[in-house]
Amino acid sequence: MSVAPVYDPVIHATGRLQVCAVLAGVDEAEFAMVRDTVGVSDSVLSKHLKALEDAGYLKVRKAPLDGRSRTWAALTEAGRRAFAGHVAELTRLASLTAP
Amino acid sequence: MTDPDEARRALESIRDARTSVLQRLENIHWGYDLAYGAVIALLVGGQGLPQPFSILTVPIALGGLAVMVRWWRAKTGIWVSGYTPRRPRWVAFGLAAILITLMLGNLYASRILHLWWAPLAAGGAAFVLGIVFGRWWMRVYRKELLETGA
Repeated sequence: MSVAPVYDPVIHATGRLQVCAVLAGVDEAEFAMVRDTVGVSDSVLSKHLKALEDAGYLKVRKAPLDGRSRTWAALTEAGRRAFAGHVAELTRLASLTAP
Repeated sequence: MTDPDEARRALESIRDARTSVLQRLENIHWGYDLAYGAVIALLVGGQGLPQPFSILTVPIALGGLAVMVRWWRAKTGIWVSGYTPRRPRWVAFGLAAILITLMLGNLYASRILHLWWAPLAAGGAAFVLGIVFGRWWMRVYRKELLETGA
């Protein structure tokens, strides 16, 4: 199924694109894993997650693991669609003057 | 945004993030595959055992699966259901169809034909299939993650 290319400024912001790239490939990911993968601080990642949550692209839940409460993040269906559309737009743009 | 170079850099950053995720999966011990095969073998082979063993194998296998999921989450920091990613899900559906067939064949062979070795044969086949399909699923998943943005 093809996705309509749509630029999304919420997703495109530095850091958030990588957060979405990680989350779009999995069902859910733990906060520390996303933080280490994207290479940002706890507070910066929290801001990214909040922005995505406010846009309706992400949901967060707390779950115990190894005796500690961990934060798990997952893209919503709207978030997955928006990310797919954004990637389609990036791909379209990148192909305009492909070397 | 209309800059093709910026778009290329953005796509590259997506691939970098995905590669990082995949590197975490590289460190999964091969024992996980064996454990998965054993759980599947117990689930499929156990159905041909006499009562109450056939019933007992179900909670034991499902309990083992729950422990494996918990371990995977703690080790990798991610969770991916076998049926979520687009292309790999067909590998999971294929395995499920074969295992159900194997389970029904096991029931028929052990309950109707009274072949004592049927649970062993079905369990052994399920063990091998679980490992082979598990590795196949992972290969398709890696490919999809790196090839596609979404």
